[in-house]
Amino acid sequence: MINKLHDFLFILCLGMLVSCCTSIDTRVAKGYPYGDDHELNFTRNFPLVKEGFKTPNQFISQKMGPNIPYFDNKDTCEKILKFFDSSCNCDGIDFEKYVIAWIYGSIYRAEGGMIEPRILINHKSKSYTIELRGSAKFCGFKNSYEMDEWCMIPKPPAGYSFNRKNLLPGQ
Amino acid sequence: MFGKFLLVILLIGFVSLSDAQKVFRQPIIVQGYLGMAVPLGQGQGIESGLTYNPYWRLPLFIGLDYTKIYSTKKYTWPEVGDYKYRTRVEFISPVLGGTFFRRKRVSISLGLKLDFVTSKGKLLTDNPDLTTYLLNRYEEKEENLSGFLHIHGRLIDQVSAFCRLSLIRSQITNIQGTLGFGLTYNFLSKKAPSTKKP
Repeated sequence: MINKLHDFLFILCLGMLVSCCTSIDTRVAKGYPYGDDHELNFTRNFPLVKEGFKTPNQFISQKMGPNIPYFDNKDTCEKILKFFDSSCNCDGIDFEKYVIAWIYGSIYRAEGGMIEPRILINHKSKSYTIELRGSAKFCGFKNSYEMDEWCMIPKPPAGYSFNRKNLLPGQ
Repeated sequence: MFGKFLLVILLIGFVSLSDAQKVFRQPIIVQGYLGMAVPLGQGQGIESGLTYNPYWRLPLFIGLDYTKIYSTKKYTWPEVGDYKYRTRVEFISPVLGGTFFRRKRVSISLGLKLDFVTSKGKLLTDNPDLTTYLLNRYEEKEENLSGFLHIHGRLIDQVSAFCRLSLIRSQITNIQGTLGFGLTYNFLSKKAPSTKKP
């Protein structure tokens, strides 16, 4: 009798957890919005370092706006990376046109998800924005989903304000 | 230029509607309208459509609306160059609605429309750096259900002026709605009875 009651309560709890799941998706179509913001092409997961190698945020003093570490010249790039691993290099990057930025974000208390960064430039308001959007399913479980990648992004023009918009689900 | 001209014509039209209670004998069966659309955002565009009232005794109508919003702007990317970027948003919408005060000079229509939205962007300047940096061409599509309010002022039997507020729910553009102005050609029912009292 107690076993049956236990099973019933377990299934009831599981059902409640599953039924409480909500999905939030803050992603938008390419090119959005219809205005003066223009979306930029960029390379995600740029193979700057060996697979599985992460450069901790605190070791890179050069920051783009609100806390986006970046390299804008080969010397700094190699100096820091070689400190961690001698096989790392920054060859083949045109630092006249691109910078390497570390884009990262987290979706907390989610049951999986995905993060989709976008880079927008607005020449009217002279701003350069890294926008983080994504989708996630929130259930009773409390996991988190993280993204941290080296991205090769177009070099922001001098004098432009830099913004980081966090539009991730659940925040 | 075209927009200002149209706006002046419409203002004259609406101001001349002094006898708003005038009753027209023949109800409208088909209406074709064309005008300018001003998005509640930025850009400009055209508003056009066709409505059909299959039963003149009933105030219901079906129709098809086509709205296009476009904008071409010039931008300067420091140290890279000037460029032109064109954005276009098209709405093709089957509509279903009802018209009130159909035989009066000023009538009001309310309805629902199913918007098939296509948003397009294109870089018009040929510069290798820009085509690498910018998303130089995109096209996205979606479908949404939204509503509209159409105010219709009958100038003469066959010609009307209209003002149309369309609300838009869209994930792919930030246009919240459009305000349309223009002229309508009315195809009248010949079978409809006279409103004159014997």
